[in-house]
Amino acid sequence: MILIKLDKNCELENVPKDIRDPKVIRMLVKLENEIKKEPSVSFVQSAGSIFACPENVPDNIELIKQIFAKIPNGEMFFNKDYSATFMTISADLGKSEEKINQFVSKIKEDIKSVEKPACVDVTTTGNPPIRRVLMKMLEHDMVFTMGIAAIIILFLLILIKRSITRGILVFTPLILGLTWTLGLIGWLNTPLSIATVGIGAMILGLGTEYGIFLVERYEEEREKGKNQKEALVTALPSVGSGIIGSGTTTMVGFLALLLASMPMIQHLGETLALGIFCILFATIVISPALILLEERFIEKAEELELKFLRRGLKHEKNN
Amino acid sequence: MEILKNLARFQYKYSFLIFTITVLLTIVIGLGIQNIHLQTDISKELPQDLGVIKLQNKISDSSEERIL
Repeated sequence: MILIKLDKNCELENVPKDIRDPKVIRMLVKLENEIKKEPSVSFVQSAGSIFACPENVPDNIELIKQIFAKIPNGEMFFNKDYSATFMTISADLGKSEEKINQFVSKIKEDIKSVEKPACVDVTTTGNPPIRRVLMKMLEHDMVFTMGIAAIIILFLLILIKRSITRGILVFTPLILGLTWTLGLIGWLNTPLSIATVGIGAMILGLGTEYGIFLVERYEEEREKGKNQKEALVTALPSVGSGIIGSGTTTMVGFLALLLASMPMIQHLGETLALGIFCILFATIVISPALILLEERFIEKAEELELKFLRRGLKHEKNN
Repeated sequence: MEILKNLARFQYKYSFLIFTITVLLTIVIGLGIQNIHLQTDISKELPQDLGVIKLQNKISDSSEERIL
């Protein structure tokens, strides 16, 4: 539906003061004719429909008033104070989001292309424009909530671990799990809806603890003087069983949502369970390998630093 | 848990291989992100076997849907 209304706050002169003004009706006819050109449009109705082309619209507003007064239900196009009118459009678009988006954009282009009298506002509403706005909001919310959650969690992890690399290390399985979850949602063709659009932030929040437990336990063993292999062989079974138990119960809880009658809630349950599974897998299988690689990398970097320092000292002695 | 001990030994031995496989796996699965689509049609998120929804779907299918 397109709403055409007069701007009541407009202070310009020689502007329409009644929506039945010839300039407004002519604009309606032009807009209607433009919209009718769209192949998907099956029906358009407005106060301009009875004139068929702009040339048929009388120049005298009184004549237009008389025409509408004579037509049965002619007044139904206008509000009580004749400051607004509407145009109804029917189109066969199916339920494809893309088609609806394209159609709404085309209608907006048609509105832009038609010359509008001063102080006349033309706005669209109805199911497709609402869905379009909703889609933009969902996209924004998804990226924004996930981004904010990721930044805050990473900052807290760096603060807790008092090391940037260790913070990133705990954070890595989260990012891996989240990437896998979103990727699998895409491959499985599961749509994200109002209920599931916040899963990114939820998964990040729920999965953080697994990585912390594992890294902390491994560090404990290393502080006891154990080498990498011994520390990992001790840490992973001791804390891993707890992490698996905790993750599995969380997953089962979310999977129970599959029994809900609302598909929206079912999708929420399955995506959250998938997210927890991915983070669990990344923590148990991938994270230990990354911990070892990070340690080896730091050890090598320290060795290189020592070498450079020794070379520097030798060079100074020789001089 | 013996299985986790064996896993830890495997991770120690093949940590770089695990890292490489993870990168490749993440790239392959991550490509699916492009296929993510949003569902803004609330009617599709309602139980499709309910009488009122069935009737609504029938009406929408058999006639042109007034969409704007």
